[in-house]
Amino acid sequence: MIPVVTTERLTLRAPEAADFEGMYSILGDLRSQYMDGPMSRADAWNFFSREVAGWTLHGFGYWSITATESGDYLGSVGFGRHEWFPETELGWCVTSAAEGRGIAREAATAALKWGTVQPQITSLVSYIDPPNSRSIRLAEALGAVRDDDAERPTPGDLVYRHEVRP
Amino acid sequence: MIPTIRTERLTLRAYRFADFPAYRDFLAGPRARFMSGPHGAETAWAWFCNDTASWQLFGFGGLMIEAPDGTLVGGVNVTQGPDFPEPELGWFLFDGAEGKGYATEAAIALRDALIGGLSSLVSYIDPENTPALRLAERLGARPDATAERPAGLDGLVLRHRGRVTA
Repeated sequence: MIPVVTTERLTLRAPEAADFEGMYSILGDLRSQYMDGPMSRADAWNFFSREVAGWTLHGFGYWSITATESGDYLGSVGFGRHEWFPETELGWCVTSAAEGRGIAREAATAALKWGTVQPQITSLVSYIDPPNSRSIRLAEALGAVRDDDAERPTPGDLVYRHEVRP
Repeated sequence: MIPTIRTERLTLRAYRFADFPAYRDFLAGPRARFMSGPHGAETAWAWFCNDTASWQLFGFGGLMIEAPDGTLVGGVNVTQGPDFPEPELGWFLFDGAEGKGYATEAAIALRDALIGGLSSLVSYIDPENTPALRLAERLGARPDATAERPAGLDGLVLRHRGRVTA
C-alpha cells in the first residue's frame, strides 16, 4: 500500500517502528526548533504516528528516508493533512548526519514528483517558520512560490505553494 | 494492510479521516472518564493517529465499529504506547450504542484475530468501571496482580488468554 521510491542515493520506504529512534534524534534536538521542537519522547512519538497515519487516512503520508546502500535512516519526507491544516503539506526533516549533502532536496524532489500527480492531493503547500532559511531555500529550489494570501495553521508561518497536476 | 473483520452483526474496519469528529466528540465527553478523559481535540487527534499508525508499525491497532445499518457505534483496538509494557485491548462505544453486546462482539473478534501474533495481551481497567470489568470477564480475562503496569496507571490489569506466542 505504501509505495517505495528510489533516487540516486536514497530509498523512500514505509516507516517502521525501529525508525522512531532516528526520528527522535531529530525531534528531541534543538535543531527541530522550527518544527515545534525540541520534543519529549511522547510528543515525538505522536509526531511520528501522525506522519504514518496519513497513508491510511488520506492515501498519502510520510516515508522514511534511507541511504540505499547502507540502509541508514536519514529522516522523513512526505505529505500531511492534519486535522488543523487548511491544505496538504509537503514536509521533510533529516538527521544531523544527513545535513549539508543535498539529501533533503533529493528526497523532497522525489516525493514531490510522486505527489503532484496523485488525485488525492488537490493542492500542496509547505508551512515554514520565517527564520528557517534552510527550508525556505529548499522550498524555492523545489519551485514553490510564496503565497501570502493562503490560510495557515500558525499565524506566523510562511506558506510556500507547490504546483500540482492531479 | 489493515483488516476488515465482519462479525455476526458488526463490521470492524480501518479508521477514516471522516470518523475523527465522532471520535473527538466521544473523548471530549463524560463517557471518556474511564479512558483518563475527558480529552481535548489535540489529544484525540494524537490517539486517533496512534490507533491507525499502529497497524503499519506493529501489525495491530484500532478499528471503527459499524452497526448493521452502517452507522459508527464506537471502536475497538489493540495498542501499545511507547512506554507501555504490553499490548492492550481496549474498546469504546458512542452514546446510545450500549446495552446491545456490541463491545463484547467486537472485542472477541479483534482479540481472536490478533492474539496469535502477540506475546501477551492485557486490558487496563478502572476498578469502578463495572461494565468493562464484566466484559473482560466475558472475554475470559483474569486479574493479574503482579503485572507490570504503565507509569502512573493505577487500576486493574486484566490478562487475556488465547493462543499467545512464546
